Amino acid sequence: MTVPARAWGAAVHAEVTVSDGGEITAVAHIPAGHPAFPGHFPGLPVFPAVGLIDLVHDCARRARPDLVRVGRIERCRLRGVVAPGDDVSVKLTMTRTGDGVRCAAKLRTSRGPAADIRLMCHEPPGAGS
Amino acid sequence: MGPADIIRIVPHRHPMLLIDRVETLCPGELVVATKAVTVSEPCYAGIADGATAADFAYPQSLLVESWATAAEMLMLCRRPAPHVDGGHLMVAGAIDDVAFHIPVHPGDVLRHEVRVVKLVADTAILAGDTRCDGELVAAFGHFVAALRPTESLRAAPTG
Repeated sequence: MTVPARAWGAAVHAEVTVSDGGEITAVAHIPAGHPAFPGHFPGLPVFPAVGLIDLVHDCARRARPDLVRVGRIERCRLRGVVAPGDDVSVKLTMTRTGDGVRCAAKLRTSRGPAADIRLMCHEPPGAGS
Repeated sequence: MGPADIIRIVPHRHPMLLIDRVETLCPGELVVATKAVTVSEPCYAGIADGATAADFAYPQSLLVESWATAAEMLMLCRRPAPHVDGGHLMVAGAIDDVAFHIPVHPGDVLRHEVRVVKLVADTAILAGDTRCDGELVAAFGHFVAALRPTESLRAAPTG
């Protein structure tokens, strides 16, 4: 199996747990040396919001590797800054709908809420049938 | 406007400076910007022999970041923030209702259009799309951004 292009490769390491009930929890460490930081921004490294969207998608793919692409970002509310060295905790629920799989996540750092993100991922034809 | 003009307005730098040119900039109304996707970008560093065409799809997160940087040109053109010590930056509050249509690949040129839907003081609701050769790549329904003091982006220490 080949590896698709990723925004920052495997720069963020996440420990992901999938419970029997289907809830996914993860803790992702944002390294101080993350490759986005030199450009976002010089003198004030802030983890890009789109990196949090990637993180939610990555967590969803641990449970469903076939959810290769996001079909829609339904909602992404940014609540707080994610900085170098932060650990980001993710609580993710995945629900099948007529349109695909809805991935709803709450992300936090030790300072408080970081983001609420809801993605709709399309299922490949024939998935789960 | 090329990169030399763009970095006089936004604080993004390599590898997060994800627009190449600004074709149209109407302050308070509209920006049109382009970005060429190339296979030498850092996102393709992990591609190995045997990769499929789908593996070369440009990451959706970077597509959103690229469109948002065009939005930032619109937000900051009257009050540039080329450095973080300039006193203010653009902060995104919501990225809602983004629909992805077709994937893009190295060799494609993205054309971002960002329109102001509503502007109240330093906060704007923006919308628009990204196209490639006229085909819809992504539609951005509701993007909320505001100009905020730089200090608001500094993470408070947690002890």
